[in-house]
Amino acid sequence: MKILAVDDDELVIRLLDGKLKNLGYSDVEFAKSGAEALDMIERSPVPYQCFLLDIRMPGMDGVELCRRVRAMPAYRQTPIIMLTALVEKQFVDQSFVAGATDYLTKPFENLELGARLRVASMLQKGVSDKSAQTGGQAHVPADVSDDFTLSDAVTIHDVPRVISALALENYLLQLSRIDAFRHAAIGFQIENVAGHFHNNTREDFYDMIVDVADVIFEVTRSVNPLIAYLGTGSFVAIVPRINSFDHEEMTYQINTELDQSNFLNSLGQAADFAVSVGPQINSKMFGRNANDLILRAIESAQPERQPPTRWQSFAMLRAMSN
Amino acid sequence: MAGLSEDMAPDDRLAATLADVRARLQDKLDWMICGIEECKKEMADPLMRPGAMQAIAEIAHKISGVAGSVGFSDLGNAAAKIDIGFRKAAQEAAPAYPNDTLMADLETLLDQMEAAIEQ
Repeated sequence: MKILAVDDDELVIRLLDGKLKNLGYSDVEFAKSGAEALDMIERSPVPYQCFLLDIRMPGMDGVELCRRVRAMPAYRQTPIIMLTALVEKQFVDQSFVAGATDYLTKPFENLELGARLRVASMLQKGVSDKSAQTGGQAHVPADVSDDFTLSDAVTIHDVPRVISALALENYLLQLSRIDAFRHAAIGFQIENVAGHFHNNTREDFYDMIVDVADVIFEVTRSVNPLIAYLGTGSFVAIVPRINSFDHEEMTYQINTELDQSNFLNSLGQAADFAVSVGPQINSKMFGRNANDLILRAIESAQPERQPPTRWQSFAMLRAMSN
Repeated sequence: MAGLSEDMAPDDRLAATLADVRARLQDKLDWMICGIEECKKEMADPLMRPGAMQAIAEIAHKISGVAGSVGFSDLGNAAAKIDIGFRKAAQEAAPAYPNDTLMADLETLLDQMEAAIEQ
């Protein structure tokens, strides 16, 4: 895996160099500033496959660098791990909103760095495989090719504060360390999602979930949520525990906005769809893990028995093995 | 990097890297202490206070990012506390002189820095 690590501190670069080599990653390059990193990215004949970014750097900070890297078509899905001594929630939030996949705080242990990089490597492999299948020419993102299934947690781009399912999981993991019980999750479920999936092309279905994501963002934007699509028509928004949302009003607002959006598929047909909203699920101070909150939010939004999303299946398996 | 060669076993190589970084950090701690002492004096002047507090936070930030990885966990924790405390305080429009608790934390950090030089 070709890695670009960016940190202005010479000692951190030496540390990272030693630790990454020890973990078996030898194709690593280093930049000492955001500007130098962007220059290296532009000049690199082979794309980088993972980024490790410090946040606090003179000039362009790591969050801005993350945003700029993520805006490049070649790096829309490349793993970006923030590697920082900053532990406050504002930096965690800013990083994930800017497109970070993961967040690791210094001082970092070899085991933890290794685990995060293995996940990044698997994610990168998935991205490469999908890009190879679509030839990088897809109208929709590379992860939304013809083989995407109903249960796939496809990544939604270009809707503010919507991040990938993996990033949401990592975000909650980080929150559980610094802000254990001040947040909550709200689940959203597209009703009769299997019918919509089978009656539409993949691109139309993708446009439909983007529409829903956009409406969820609009309705919850006052509290700066982080939202992810988990597959099978399920969404979860992470919101502050204390807020002024009313469950019934939110359900009404979302469905009214969806009605007004007049969604048309590529054949010009109107798709009439509704979204059920679950009650707010508060995080537990001694909750089992970050995934538990997401699972409970998804389940609480189900108006009917839905097949589990792929993300749910993995999360349940992980819960059983813990 | 001094003391490192390509044919070393991976774990020996990592141990050598950590020792090297630890020594380099210890070398830097002297002038970092001087820097913090200078900033402490500057903090008395309300006009220089925001910059001085920010500079202390920056020094602490540098220490907190590395110290814990090279065997100085207490130093890393003390530095992280100062990084957060002074950065927050410096962000206020006209920051007041740090309160006694924050100044006591700063003295703890200075003590930890001196102790780390000796180790």
